[in-house]
Amino acid sequence: MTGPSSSAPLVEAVGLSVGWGDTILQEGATFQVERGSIFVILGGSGCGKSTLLRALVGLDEPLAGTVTIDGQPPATASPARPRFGVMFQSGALLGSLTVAENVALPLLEWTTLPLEAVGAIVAAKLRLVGLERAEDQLPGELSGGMRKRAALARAMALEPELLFLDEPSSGLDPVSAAELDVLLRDLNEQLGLTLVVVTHDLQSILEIGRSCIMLDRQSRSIIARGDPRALRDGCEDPRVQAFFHRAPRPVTA
Amino acid sequence: MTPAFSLEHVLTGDGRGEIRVSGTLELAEAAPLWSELRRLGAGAVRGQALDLEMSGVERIDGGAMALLACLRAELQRRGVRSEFVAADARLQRIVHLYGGDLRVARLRARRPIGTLDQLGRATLAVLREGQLVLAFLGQMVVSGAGLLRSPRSANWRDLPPTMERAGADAVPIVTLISFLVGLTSASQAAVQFRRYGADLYVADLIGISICRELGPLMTAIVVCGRSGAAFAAELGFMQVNEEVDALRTMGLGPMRFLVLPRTLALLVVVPLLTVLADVAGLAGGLVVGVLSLDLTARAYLSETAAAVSPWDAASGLAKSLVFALIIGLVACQQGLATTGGAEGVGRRTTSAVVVTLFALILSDATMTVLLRMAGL
Repeated sequence: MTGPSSSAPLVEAVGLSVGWGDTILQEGATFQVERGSIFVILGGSGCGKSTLLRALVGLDEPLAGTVTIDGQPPATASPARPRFGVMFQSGALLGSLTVAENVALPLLEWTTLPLEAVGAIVAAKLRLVGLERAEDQLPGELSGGMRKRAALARAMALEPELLFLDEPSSGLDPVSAAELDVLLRDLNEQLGLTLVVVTHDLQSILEIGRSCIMLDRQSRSIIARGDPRALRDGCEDPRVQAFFHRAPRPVTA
Repeated sequence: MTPAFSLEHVLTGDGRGEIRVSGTLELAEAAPLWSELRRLGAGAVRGQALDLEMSGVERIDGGAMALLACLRAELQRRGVRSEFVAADARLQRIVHLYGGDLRVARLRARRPIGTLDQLGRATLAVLREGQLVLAFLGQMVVSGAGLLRSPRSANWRDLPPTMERAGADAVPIVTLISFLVGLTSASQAAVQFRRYGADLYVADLIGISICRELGPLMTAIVVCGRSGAAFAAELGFMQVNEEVDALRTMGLGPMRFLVLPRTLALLVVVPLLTVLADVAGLAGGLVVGVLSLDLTARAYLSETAAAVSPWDAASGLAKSLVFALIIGLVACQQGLATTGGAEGVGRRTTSAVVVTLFALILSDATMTVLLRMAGL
């Protein structure tokens, strides 16, 4: 990715409002994602985390505000090589293709590599996510966790600098979720990938998150931002405390 | 354009070889990197050593590291000793991430599946599919019997909308197709019959062939394409979406709740559509008789009435009941056998239509032969 300046934020959202029709889920969200960071978007169910993510990656038009990735809008009018990878909550693998074919798809579309080299990269990516024995399987034959890992391998196929992940650990057992957290941290620390993770998995948030924003459904706004551990230990907002300590939502007048 | 990386093959003093990797290695330049790596690795033979010397690497991404790790693994499989050397701590972690420090397992050659094996497997798959359809028929009969004992246990609420979708909504297409089939058949027959001065017998041919064969068969084919495919896709999606499992856990068996209402709906509407198809087909023949053979409508209809016995119409309706059962049975069985995601639904829907069409033609031929042998 080549941007205006390597010190400038990689992702920048200004006054972003998202929702559908007359329903506004988040209003006027402004935040920045620094290069090489793991940025977590957290909040309770229905607060608009995934909708915000869809706006960030350019799948949905925001109701208001702007998003830039490396100084440019996320969506391009014409088909172009993707500048970032996205891992969807369900995995969203193509059901008619094997796991290896799913991962190879972006490489075949956007590089001129010979098939042998594509095969080598696909095998390495699948090994990286622990799926080296599943390359010939169809997505329908995989468990939920395997589907997510295959989707992660596909999202990384083109070596993007930036990865968006929607609920990466949802539906996974604690061990698989922890392994995925370790992998994400390795990708961030060893390869310098910037990760934007949408999740409400507390363990995961504290394990991998270095900076975060917390969305609130009722106020439709960002109610806290900073290091997740610092928020857990130091933020006095009862809504933030309720979230981090798995307590019932505070009653508001 | 000069690549941002360089690879150099160097022989070190102790007879070992090295590929000195330096510069920036990224996926954007993976194609020249790959061809250069292949070239440099090609000369190494069993027993030699060819390490990947990494001290000059400024930056490397995952794609490029995957190619280097692939080369090392390939060299090791050929009996060439190869390791990543002189990598700094940061690079060492990337090497580890991509398995560049793992022991390389020997590849097991896959035995290709022979033609005879493939034929055997395909035959077994067809037989197994047939077995599953028969087992499904058995379950359906048992559930049907249960329904007779306790009619309130059925999902009657689904019956009227299903009848509307499979029956009333199919009226225009069944009418049009049957009319055109009658028209086309009569036109073809008229040319031949006219040579022998047997114009009037076109009415006999059309009447009997429509009522005994074409009416029920064309109706069944249309219903298979419309409703059979829809049932298979609907139940297939419910299956992959775990809706069927949810019904089971609530004690609502899919047979009574999903399959029987659909099959019963077909058993009611397919014979009714067949009657409509018979009328439309006869009307097609009548149009040819009047416009092309100069027969009067009265003469054509009188001849049809004389030629077509009540049994002809009844046997056609009996066939339509069998056809309805086949469509409901196969479509629902295929839908509930769906596995996988959207791909699985598509595969089973196609399979439902193909298997149903085959079963329709086969059962029609069988019934025709049996009725002929019985002199009916």
